[in-house]
Amino acid sequence: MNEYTVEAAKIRYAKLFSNKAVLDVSGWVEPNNAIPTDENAFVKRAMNNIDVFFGMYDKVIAEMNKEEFLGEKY
Amino acid sequence: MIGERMEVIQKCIKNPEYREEIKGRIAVRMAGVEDVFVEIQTRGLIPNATLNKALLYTAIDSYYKDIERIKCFHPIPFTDKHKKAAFSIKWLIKLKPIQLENMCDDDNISKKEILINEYFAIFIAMALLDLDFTLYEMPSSKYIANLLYTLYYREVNGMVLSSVMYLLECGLKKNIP
Repeated sequence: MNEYTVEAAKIRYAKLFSNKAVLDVSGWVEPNNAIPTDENAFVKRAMNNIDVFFGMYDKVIAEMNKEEFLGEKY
Repeated sequence: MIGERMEVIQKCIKNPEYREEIKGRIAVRMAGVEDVFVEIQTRGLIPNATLNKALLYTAIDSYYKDIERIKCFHPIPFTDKHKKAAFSIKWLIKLKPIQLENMCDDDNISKKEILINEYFAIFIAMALLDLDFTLYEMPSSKYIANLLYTLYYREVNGMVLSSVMYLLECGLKKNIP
């Protein structure tokens, strides 16, 4: 029967725990283009997009009414 | 190692000074989103709807908490725009801050009104993705319809959605993913 203690588990999974590829995420880095959001630019872009984006809402709903998902009928 | 990470996470979320900073950012984002909503209404594009500020606050607050958890865990200084777009969508469609007026009395409520929160969330995400449609092409109505369907009928995971946002941005800016 296995012994269910922290020490026993550490020995049991020693090899796995030493495998940085499996468990260590400390090397995770964000893409270089990550910058703080410029809220003014965000609002400006949104304002610029209003007419074109909401202007196509009827077309989008018409597409939804075709009852297709990724080209397949549902 | 886990203990150290937990300490970092707790420090980020529970540090009063940091919370104050986050509150400031929530207020700024709220103001921006509210102004955009008002402008859409002024142009008559979302009739019969109001923006519930308490729900909007909760959505943006939850967005920041989600993002901060990821930042603290990994630990990263800034979040990329794909996560910003994805997690904004996640919380806007979950809490649905746009409320329809007289919905209970209206037998003829349309799909257009029912899906307004999802459509608005995609709209906000596009702006967070740095997509200005005076400079870039719009995605097709078919693609938006499929995305809308997914957001309305399926479970949405923020991290998976950020990958969708990355591909969408690449497609519209004509970059190879």
